[in-house]
Amino acid sequence: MTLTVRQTLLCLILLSLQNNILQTIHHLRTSGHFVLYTKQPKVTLDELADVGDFLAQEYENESLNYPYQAPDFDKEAAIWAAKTIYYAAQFLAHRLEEPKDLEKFFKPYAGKITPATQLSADLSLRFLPYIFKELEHIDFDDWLVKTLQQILQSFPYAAIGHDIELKVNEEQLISDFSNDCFRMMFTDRVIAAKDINMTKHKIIQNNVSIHLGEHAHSFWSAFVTEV
Amino acid sequence: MEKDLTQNITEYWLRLPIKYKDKLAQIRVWQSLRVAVDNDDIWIRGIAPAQLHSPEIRSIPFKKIYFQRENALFFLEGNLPEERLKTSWVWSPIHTFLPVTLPDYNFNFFGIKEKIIFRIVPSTVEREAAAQWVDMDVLKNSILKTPAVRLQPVQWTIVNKKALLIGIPLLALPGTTLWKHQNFLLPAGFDFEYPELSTYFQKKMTQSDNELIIINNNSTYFTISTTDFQSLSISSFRLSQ
Repeated sequence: MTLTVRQTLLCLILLSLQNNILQTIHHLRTSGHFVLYTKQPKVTLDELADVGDFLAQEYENESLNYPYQAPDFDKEAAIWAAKTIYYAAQFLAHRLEEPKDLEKFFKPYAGKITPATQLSADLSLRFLPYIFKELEHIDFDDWLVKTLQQILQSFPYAAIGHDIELKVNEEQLISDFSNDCFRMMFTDRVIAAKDINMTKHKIIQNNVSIHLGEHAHSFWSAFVTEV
Repeated sequence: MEKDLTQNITEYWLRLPIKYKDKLAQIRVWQSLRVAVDNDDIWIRGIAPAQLHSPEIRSIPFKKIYFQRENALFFLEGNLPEERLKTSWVWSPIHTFLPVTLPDYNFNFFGIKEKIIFRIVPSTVEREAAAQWVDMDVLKNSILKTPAVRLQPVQWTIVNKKALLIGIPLLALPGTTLWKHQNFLLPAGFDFEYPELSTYFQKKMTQSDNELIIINNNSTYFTISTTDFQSLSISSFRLSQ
């Protein structure tokens, strides 16, 4: 089969138009399914910029439902999180590339972790525990499991409700909880997921009991009996 | 020690001269009672211990209360047998023994055009509130601080610039509360003037089952379709501003 010059050009344009990571993240955010369009764990800066714009839009929609004043969107963190989960899924599905230069793929988040960072990163990171569980299921000693655990450790908000063993940094949490919006969101998610392990931490437990008030028994009876 | 005769009694007997038969009308609805006639007396058995001290029984005059032990009947709190059981007694349920006769139809009655007006009246019966009216300003100030778990069961809509919240547990906000009966939402502290007619009124007032009838304090009402309610969330509130 021979292609005319015109057809070749069209193909090239289409190829360059196809933004794999954006498609994956978009599909993930809209339907909850993870679809990979390529085997190559590769992303370009342009693609990431588009992902950032998409996530900014998503954050704006979601923050409509955030209590108090939602923190400003942190694009850096959102892009970093999207990249992390994209690579995690890639390495879960196939490992064509031998894991020799891991830092290239899974860098810990470089900036300071703030409520804004946590909420922005959570747009994609909230799906990471599912990949983490899947990896752990295959081989709990895998290098990727440990790497992801490190990441979830610094973003406990994304890990709520998945029964993952984490050493939550309480000091970090206390300073983050000074942000009203984040404190509410965090506590709401602990209650929604009924994550009894999280309430081992004093500050979370206090906030949960404030939220439940006198209705604790009807909303979450295990919290009354076990804590 | 002698055993107490009144131990383990599950039913009491009642004896009444037959000329006072009409006095039994008030206990006719108790399905467990059975009646037999013996000369000039009516015998009733099947009176439960709990029913014995009820006003219905206590208000029957000229009665004698017995309890049964083996083949004899003893007076209540008596120690000696008074009567022996007779095999000739024929027992029948009380509602067949005392049939109801309806008054004759009055063909000369011309009051059929009279109407009953729907009204609510103050009531002292305590009801659980199921909905509340809240000022939009009050809601605006508090909703951002309300945990998601409290918002979840609540549905809301806006009527005349006031928010109507439905769902238990209600939010702890100042506002007037309503209680629910069938599809009616009545102001707390009020009840129907004729509660028995509520089903008929509901049929008259609504076209379909998924309409709520909200009654104001002055007995006027309006209906809202349940599809007009949204679940209450911060985003739904912000979008309604």
